[in-house]
Amino acid sequence: MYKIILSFRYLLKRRISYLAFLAVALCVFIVVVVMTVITGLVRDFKVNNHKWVGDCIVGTESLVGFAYYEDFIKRIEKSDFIEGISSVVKSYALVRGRDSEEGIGIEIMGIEPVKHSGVTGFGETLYHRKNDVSKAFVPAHDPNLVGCVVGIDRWLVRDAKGRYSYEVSPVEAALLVSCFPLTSKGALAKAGAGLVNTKTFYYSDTSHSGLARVDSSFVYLPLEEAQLLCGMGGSVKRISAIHIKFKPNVKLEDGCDKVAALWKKFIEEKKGEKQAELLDTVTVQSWKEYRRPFIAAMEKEQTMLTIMFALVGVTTVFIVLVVFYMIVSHKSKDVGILKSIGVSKVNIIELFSCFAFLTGLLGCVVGVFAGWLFLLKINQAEDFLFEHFGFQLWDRTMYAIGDIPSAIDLKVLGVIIVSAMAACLAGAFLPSWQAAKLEAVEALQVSQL
Amino acid sequence: MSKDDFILKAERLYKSYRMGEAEVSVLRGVDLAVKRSEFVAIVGASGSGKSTLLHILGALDRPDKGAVSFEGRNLSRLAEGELNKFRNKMVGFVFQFYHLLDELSVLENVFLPAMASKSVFGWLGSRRWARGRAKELLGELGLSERANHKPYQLSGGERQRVAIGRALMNEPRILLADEPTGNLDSATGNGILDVFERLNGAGQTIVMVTHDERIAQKAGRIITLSDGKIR
Amino acid sequence: MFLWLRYLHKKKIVFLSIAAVALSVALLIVVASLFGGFIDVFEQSAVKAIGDVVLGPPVKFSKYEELIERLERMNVVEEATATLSAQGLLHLGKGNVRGVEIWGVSNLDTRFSKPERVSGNEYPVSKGKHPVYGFVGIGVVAEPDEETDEYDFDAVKKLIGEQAVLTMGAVMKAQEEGKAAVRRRTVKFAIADVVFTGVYYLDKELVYLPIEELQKVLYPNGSEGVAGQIQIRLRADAETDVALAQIRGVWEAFATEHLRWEPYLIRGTVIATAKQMQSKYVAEFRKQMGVLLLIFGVVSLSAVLLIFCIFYMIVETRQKDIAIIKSCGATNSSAASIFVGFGVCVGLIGSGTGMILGDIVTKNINTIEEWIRVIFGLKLWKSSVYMFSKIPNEVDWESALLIALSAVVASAVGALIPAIIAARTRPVNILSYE
Repeated sequence: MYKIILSFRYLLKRRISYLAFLAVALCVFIVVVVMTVITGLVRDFKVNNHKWVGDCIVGTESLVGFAYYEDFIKRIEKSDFIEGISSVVKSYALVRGRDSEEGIGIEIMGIEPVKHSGVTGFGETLYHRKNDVSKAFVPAHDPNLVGCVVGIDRWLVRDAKGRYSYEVSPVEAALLVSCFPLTSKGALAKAGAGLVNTKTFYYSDTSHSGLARVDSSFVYLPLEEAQLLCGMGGSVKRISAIHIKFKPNVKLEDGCDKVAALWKKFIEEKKGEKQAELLDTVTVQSWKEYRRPFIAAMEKEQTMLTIMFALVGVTTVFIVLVVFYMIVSHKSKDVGILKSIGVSKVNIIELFSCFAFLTGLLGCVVGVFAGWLFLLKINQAEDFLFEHFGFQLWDRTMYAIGDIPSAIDLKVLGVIIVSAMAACLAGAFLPSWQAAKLEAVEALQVSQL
Repeated sequence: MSKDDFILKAERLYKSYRMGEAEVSVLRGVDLAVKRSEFVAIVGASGSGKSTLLHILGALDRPDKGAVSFEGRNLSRLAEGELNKFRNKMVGFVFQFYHLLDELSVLENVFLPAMASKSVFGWLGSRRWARGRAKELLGELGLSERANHKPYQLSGGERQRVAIGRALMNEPRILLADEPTGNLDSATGNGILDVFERLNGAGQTIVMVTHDERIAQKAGRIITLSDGKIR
Repeated sequence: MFLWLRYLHKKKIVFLSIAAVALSVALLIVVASLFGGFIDVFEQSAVKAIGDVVLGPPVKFSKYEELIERLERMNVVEEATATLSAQGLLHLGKGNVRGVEIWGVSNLDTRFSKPERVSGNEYPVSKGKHPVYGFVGIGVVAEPDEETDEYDFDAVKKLIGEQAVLTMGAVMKAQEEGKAAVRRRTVKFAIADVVFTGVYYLDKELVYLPIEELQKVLYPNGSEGVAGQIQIRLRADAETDVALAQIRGVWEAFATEHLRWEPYLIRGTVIATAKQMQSKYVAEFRKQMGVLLLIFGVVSLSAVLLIFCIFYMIVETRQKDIAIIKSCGATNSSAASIFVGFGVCVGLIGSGTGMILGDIVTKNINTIEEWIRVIFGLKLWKSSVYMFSKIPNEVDWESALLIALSAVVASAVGALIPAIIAARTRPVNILSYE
């Protein structure tokens, strides 16, 4: 009990203790804010990636695609672990306005919008057709025309606050999409007289997935139109990938394993058929594996920052070490007194450890509270700074970031608090140990006063 | 055990310290025996080794050679934990410079030894007794109104009385006092000595170290320590 | 002074404060140097890719050889190159198709230095029926190893000499008025070499062809050569602002006389340095660097706290000694100046050590990153993320000196309050016993 009483008294009465807990509070504050923002950005990025592709992707990197996808879909759509399936064609194309001579290189994605929205978050990314995805490719001004959905950063410009100025209703605009069809052998298809496969699509909506690369380079087309453009139509149709969504209670790895097993069986059965060799290029991947190159890059940033801010933790240990060294040196007389009344070495270490624990705890509470308050107002603060000083943490015209993430992740918070407490205990250990080793007689000598 | 039994015995005690390159012998074969309820004063000049002897008697320090036995038990055979228990329960120390904890109140300083020997739950069970005992001791020492004050608010004599109260908290078998009046004026010092006389009269065994012969006269027996030996 | 130094240099804790200052200074120097180096390399890569100055009219133009001749006659211009760009698909083999950007350049044979070319062979000249030769960025034909982020150069070398087909959309003006169609135009070329500039975008996206060949593909009906941009390299001693003004003068004269352009087209021509064109990005990077340095700077304030704590402790525990020495005649200012002076010493030694440490870490950052990869399996720097293959590793000495100076001042400030306490110590209060 005396340990708790003395710890509290040391903390509250010794002004030098304030330095230790303020240092802990400052370090915790900085780490909470930075880690929350970075974790939030990575989390949002992962969520957007997941939403963009669904749970599982059976697909090929080759632009030739693969056949017999309808047979496989028939096989798996009745499975009890699958909620939705969507066929997708992906390729490169050139797009230009009707009166423009300049072609811009883009990526096209051919989809069936309703099915695709059942598997991914495509429907939520639309603006005009958000409430009726079936009309995603129906231009508002003329329902008889074939529409296309354009990645938002290809169509609109973000203002300095990261907002898009949407049109009230979709403008009438024709886009000529030219694609280079490939045969099933991967050769350039002869499309007669040197003409590319070009078709005019009419702008029907934008898609805002939240992924910068996607929003600036993708145009979505109806699946069948994309197949024709890429030379994937014909008697044996081909696609690039099948996107799958699992039922809510299905674990991702389990679902993907099941799909992989089914796929393996399927390609065995198809051996020897026409274009069956294309099935060998197909892989079954979870969304995490499929988007790994992009996610890994973000996670790397997070790791780098975590390492850098671990140095902040080291600084905390330093400060606590020095402050405790000083406090304990001052308290050598107390140690002598306590030993003279029978307190053991272990109890002395416990006393100062309790003090360190309280310091860490108080510092964490203050630091976390300050961090929470700061994060609560961080976007307002940035708006204020931007309006009055033109300062933004991230230039929204350059970075595809909306609001700065400010929701504290409890897991991350837990790690920070535990690390801060551990840092305090680590910093206090050496001085506590030295104090415990001190002989009572040495501590109580007149010269020690 | 009878009144003539020795509560504390020291046999052939040797102790030396290293001061830089040189080795200084402080105790050179000291024999000492203290009876129950005795008031013994150990007198010696500065540097004669009397404080060192007192610390060894109270198990605050270990001799290089020789043995100290308390109620027949050899202290050098006791483990660390048992020595801590010994200092908590059997011995009460009073120092020249009082050595009170500045962060604790007078009352808390007095019941500190009781707190030190208990766990949190043990303390919750016994704190009423401890507070009562501490208040009683403060009353006997004339410090009832100072219970909630901090040490820096007290005079030298008052602080020394608090230290005595702390030393008596766990009803120790023996009270060891190292120059208890060394930092006090003569009137205040006499007041402290009166307390010791009163305690001894009630049966408390006291060993007091002093350099002042006049103060030593207050004891029942005077032992002179000179050049590390009893004269 | 002698006595103080005896006390202070014996205190092991003082070395701790020196270590703290050194670490803080080193950390700030490394961050400032890496970030600053990254910004410099970013700006340099733009210069490397597009020259010192870019002349970019709003529409493509002909007779560019005449313009180049006029520009090269200027004494501020070292070299001028015409470029033409387009988007297309590169077909490398069975099903291996990539979207690429094609740059037609007039100096393909001299554009890349030998170290930038994987084979380093002489550029073969295309003559008559001999195939067209082009260069391909290494990222177009290969992916770096997932773990090491290194390319397999041996595998890449095997592609040299291989045929590739580029397919582009050439706009053909049809017979009917106002109706333009896109025709597929293909050009077969042999890969003369694979280019590795270390700039991720250039290596991942670009195919380089002789400008004449690209013109033939994109404008098959055109009689004159067409260019989209002129890239200009200035002489080393040229003053940028003067050069820009002169270039604009030459352009205006050329566009008026030879192209007969409307004034709005002439005025709408961008004539800017590569650095100016990147200035928005550079400003953003500098801001990010500032924020990071601010955060670390705040954390480094802890070093100041440490110094304060240490000297405060020393003053508190040595109050009696301070009092004794003052009673022997030492002045208040001498007591204060010793602590401030020692604080400055701590700052100087700490900063000096920090600068050395920062220099070592910065210069060896790529090695350190490799060690981390080997020991922990963590590849921290990937070219696909950070745009360049190697971490810039030059120390920014201007920032380093500023940081070091700040550390010295901060150390002195940290020792100031304890110094004032020492100065105000009254011997009589300390030397009388309680």
